[in-house]
Amino acid sequence: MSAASVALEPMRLALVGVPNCGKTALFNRLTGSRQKVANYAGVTVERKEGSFVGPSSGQRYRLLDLPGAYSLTPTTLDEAITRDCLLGRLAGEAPPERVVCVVDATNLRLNLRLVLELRDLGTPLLVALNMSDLARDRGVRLDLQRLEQELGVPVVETVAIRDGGERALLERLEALPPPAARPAAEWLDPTFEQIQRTQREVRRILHAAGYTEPARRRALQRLDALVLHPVAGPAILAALLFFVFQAVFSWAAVPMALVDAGVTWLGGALQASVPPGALNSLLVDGVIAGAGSVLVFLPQIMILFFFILLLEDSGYLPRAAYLLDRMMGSVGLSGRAFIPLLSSFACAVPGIMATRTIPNVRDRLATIMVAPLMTCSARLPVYALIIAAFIPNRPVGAFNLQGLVLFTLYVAGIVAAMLVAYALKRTALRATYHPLLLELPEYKWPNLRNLMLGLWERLKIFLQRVGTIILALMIVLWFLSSFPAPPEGATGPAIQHSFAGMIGRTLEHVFAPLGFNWQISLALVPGLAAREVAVGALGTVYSLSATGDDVAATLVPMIAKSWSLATALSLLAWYVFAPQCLSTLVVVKRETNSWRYPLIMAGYLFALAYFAAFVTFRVASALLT
Amino acid sequence: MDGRCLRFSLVADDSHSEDTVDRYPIVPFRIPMPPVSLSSLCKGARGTVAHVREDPQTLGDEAQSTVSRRLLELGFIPGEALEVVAEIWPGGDPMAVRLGNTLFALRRREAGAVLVTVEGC
Repeated sequence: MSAASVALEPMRLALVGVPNCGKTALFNRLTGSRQKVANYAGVTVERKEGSFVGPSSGQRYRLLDLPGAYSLTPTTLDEAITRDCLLGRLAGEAPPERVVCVVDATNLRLNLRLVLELRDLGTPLLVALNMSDLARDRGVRLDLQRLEQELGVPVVETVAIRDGGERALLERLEALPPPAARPAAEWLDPTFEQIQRTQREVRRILHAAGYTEPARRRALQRLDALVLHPVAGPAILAALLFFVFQAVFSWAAVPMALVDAGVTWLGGALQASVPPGALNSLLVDGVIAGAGSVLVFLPQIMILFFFILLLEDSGYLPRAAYLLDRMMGSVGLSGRAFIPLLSSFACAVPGIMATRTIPNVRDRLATIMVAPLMTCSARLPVYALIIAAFIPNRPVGAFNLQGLVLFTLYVAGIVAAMLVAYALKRTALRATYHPLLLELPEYKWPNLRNLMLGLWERLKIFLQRVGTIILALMIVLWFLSSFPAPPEGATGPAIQHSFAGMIGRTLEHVFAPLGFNWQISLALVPGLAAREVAVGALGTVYSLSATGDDVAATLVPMIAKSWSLATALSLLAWYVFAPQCLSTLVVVKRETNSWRYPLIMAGYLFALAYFAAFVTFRVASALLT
Repeated sequence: MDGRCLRFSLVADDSHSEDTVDRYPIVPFRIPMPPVSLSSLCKGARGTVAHVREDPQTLGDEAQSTVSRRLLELGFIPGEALEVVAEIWPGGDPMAVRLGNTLFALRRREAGAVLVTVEGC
């Protein structure tokens, strides 16, 4: 192969490893990709590819980050994808020319069996001994050359979380001869006897290489005694979740006030500098009032994601799955469903994608169906708005009444999800027993860099949404709300005569039994595209329907004045179930490969939301008057 | 060791009542004990893996055979040291088991496939 063709043809590399081996961190290190690192088995469900250039040869590499797998005999969809990709069985996916197997140097007993399986596949293999710094710190001894000799494949030390920790891997990769073309690998699931033989071989190799297991850390064992304790464990979990929701409200107050002040200042500046007319109205009432009212909730969403990333990185999440397995089992879900459902608190889309780690297809479908009932961060702006307008900000014991109401709404979502799951597992998705077998990885200090990268990713996604979908919908809504102009001599706000007013009034017939006025009914429509848009839509509608000095007033006092408490509670109840955002429905379609499930989902959520809001409104009206 | 595992295995063997068992003297040598299922052990029990059952017939169904395979792959192979470190209350299901240096969560039903030689006290 000539040097020129080497530089032109990127080499296909695949990154493989058991869950929790630090594979994703190494992938980030090699490719500089901004992908988050997690501690839960199987967060890497998406196909992740990155590329890099060899520092000395200029050879380009395309690196595919395969989902974590304990074995080539799959028990989850993730593992099946990894196996099929390695074997070249995936349609549209060329098999890798070289495989890099990442192993955790502190836990070779669990990691090395996969190396032996991969070696038998015949694709040229390179072993990355990851976390080698941690292993050395903890007194692990290992004869690297002997290990390499025994395995018969190159082994290099890497430290994925440190700058330059990938250098040895790159040098070794560059020094290897180009892989020969070979036929697709054959693979037969090993028999029980063969697995045991491989395991004995692993132990023999480790013994020959003088591998000593790291000393168990006493402090972490004591921590586990507490975290996994049958009484203290669930109490800690509940306290953690409660603390997170309190923090979302109390920590965010100051940054939210700042963002709000900024948005208001910008609105005022535009109001003053742009000549009165359509453009002024579009900018002030459409863009600033609409998109700005969503932007205010950025601090809360960031705080929520910060805690989710922190729990993920530290290794706590699988322990929470263990603690909740019994409870989840009582409604027919697996403890494994906890991770997707927790992710759904941030957003249902990654949550639904994370269900790929649930081995049983019916368990998986049931989890997908209830995931949107978890209160996603897009619902937070709606809750926050209504709570700020109607619930007094006063202390209740050690807590804050607004925080308590928010916590109740989250609990309502969870309870609803449990009931729906129970109903589903009793009827359509009745399944046979499915096992739980979960590794509880060692606790890790969350890596600040990875945490910040994860938050940065969320921030970008949120701002992109505000800047694109939300902004576009706001502008469309502004047009609908401003045209046609009111007839000569008409009284009342102009919006009542516009298209939006007409749509709102039509929908009002449907939603009147829930206590929704036409402004709310109208805001629900763009809210279907993305839930938080409803807040922006209310901002636009109220801003345009206000007269005179009211325009300057913000949304909170405006709705506090014009809605009854029963209406506010009814809208909260509606949003606990809130019929789907479109991106969730699309991802359900993609994950289940049929329109059936997204349609059923949208239908049942709409029915539940309508019912819950109806009951809430009627009961609240009866009690409050 | 609080003698819990010793008491346990003797009860399993001779079906004595708890009272009788407590009067057994602490013996200074190791009593050869037949392996017991991991699913019957409670928190604090230690031992070594004796065997993983792999016959789907005795285990119930095909899914359980997959479990046995995965247990072997994760390192539940004869001779490995094992300790039950936690269980959920009430009912003790699922349980957390330390195998070597790795911690696993599993339900009693999965644990039923693992036979353990309980450590003499």
